[in-house]
Amino acid sequence: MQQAQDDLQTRWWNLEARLVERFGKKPDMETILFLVGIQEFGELRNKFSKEQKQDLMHIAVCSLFRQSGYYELERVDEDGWPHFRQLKALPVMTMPEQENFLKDHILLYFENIGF
Amino acid sequence: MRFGISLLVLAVITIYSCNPRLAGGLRKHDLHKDVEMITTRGTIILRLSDSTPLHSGNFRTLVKKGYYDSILFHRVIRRFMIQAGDPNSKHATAGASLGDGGPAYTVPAEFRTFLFHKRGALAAAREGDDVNPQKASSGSQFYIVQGKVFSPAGLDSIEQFRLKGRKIPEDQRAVYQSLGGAPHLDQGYTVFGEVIRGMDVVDSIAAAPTSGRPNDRPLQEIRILKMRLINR
Repeated sequence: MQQAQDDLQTRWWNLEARLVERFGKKPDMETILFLVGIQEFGELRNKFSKEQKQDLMHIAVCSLFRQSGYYELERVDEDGWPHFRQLKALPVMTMPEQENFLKDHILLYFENIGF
Repeated sequence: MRFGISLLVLAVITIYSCNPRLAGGLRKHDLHKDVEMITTRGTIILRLSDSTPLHSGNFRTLVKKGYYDSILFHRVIRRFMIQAGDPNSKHATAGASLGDGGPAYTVPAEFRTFLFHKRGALAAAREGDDVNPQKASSGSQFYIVQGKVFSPAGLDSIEQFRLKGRKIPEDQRAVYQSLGGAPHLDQGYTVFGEVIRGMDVVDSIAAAPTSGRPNDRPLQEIRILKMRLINR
């Protein structure tokens, strides 16, 4: 096809396709963050409480933006949960830009872990 | 009488020597003309760049041949671009996948740092990098940028993630923050002109409901009725 590509969108669809292949279902953004959170937490449990799920998402966001120096890992507590320190303010962006910013970091993350 | 004929011959010779025939059926005067594109949604006037002679010459040649007449805008993505130039679209059935048609040649890339994907830019479509590492342009398919407005941080993010660290010049950043565009395409696709009149028509086409991915074809046909070279 002779097309000007929206390369971010194309790469995002490719990632979605690979996740569908692996999990049999197209994940939404929340599910992808949950997956990243579990990957960073390093322990797959049968059940996470609602609060723990929120913590996993928080871990995901911090881990993603850590790649660009917005956060650093401060410590891991006795229960194995990582805690992050924010190093600089996140950039001020429009809503669509924020979504793209997050997508770019997610794509980078999956690339770095060799998915 | 003989004197009269001689004068006539002289006048004809003078006219044609001032406007010699060039390659592709063009004449010298054609190189200074704009392009009028009459579509089913209205008229767009395009000005081609003198800095991209291969693309501008090829486009003018096709316009003069009537190559684009009756062609569809076959790929439309709101807040991004509208694309046309596939000759297979002239008689395409509803819903058919388009975007592979064109002449049997490509046009070598003509990237110019000062020609960028601002709103209204006219640029050449092409095959992807995997099969086209030289980034050569399609022989006929083109797109017009509708684009979107960026924040400074949004442009920083584009530089970091999508331009592989290439910095967008300050004057172009200002345009992307005010007028808008599609900066991630810069220096990857050849820009060879711009809309000088009729952006409302571009916006109207871009707003058309489409089939969505992957073809993004408008559900209702939007056709180029006629393209022609006009004096500036």
